[in-house]
Amino acid sequence: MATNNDKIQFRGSAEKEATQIVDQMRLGGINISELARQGLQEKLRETLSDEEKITLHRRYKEGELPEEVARILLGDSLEDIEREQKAFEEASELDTSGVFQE
Amino acid sequence: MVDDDIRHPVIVDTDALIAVANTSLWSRITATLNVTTTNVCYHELKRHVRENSEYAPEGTQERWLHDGSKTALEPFDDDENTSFTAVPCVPRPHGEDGGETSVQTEVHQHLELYRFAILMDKHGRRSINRVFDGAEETTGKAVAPTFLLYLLLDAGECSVEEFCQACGEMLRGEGWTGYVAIQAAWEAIPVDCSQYLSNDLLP
Repeated sequence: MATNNDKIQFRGSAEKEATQIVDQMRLGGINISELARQGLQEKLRETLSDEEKITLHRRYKEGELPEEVARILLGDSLEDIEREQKAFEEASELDTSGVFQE
Repeated sequence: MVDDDIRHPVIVDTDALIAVANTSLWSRITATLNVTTTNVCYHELKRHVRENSEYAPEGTQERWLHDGSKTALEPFDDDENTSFTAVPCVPRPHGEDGGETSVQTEVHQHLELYRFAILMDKHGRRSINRVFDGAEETTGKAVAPTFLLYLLLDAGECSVEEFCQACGEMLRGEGWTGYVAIQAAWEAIPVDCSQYLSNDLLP
């Protein structure tokens, strides 16, 4: 199980060689840590099932999950919900004439 | 198909129709609301019925699409019913998201006639809201399918319990997409569903 003190490490000699080759090809090299961080975020999100996302969002709403972590896992969905909520509120203020059957 | 060009203030796309047609409040919606869709969405529903087996196991996406599309088509196929209309979209878009695109085109062309555009896809909604927001004054809003359930609730045509149950049904069928829509509805109109839904579904 991962703890706060864990360094994120993985064995991957072929991956290492691959990144070194790309690093050498580029004049300014590449930021391997940054790439790894982004890759990890992306892959974490990809592995989540719908049910897991729902559970995570519920834990976030209950204050069990820090916002920073929720943002990594759920990405833009948090803003989506806020935007949806606003649109819904505005829509419920609009005139409903013609909406209901006579 | 009713092809009589009646444009109601509520326009709904294929996926949103399927989502609400799969809830137990659908018959209440067909008896209460005036709803317009495009001929492209209408044909998408027909295609879903044709291409997805009615014998697919209960609970599968295929069965959900077949049953939802079939149920959604009924009021549009009823020639006596002028409350559910399908209007021709010109030019007719093709491809995967043709239905959604046709609703966008239709709203664009008849901006003053539409007030509520109901789409399942968030990108579709965002794109229509840009059109609405760009208009002189706010004429309308694109919202998620839960809004149709809210309209019933607001008009006193369904109880809070029925509203919550239908949200739960949509949530189970649409997964994360439905969850986002339902969560937004719950937060926009604070409805307490805790009595009616199991804990894992609640806001």
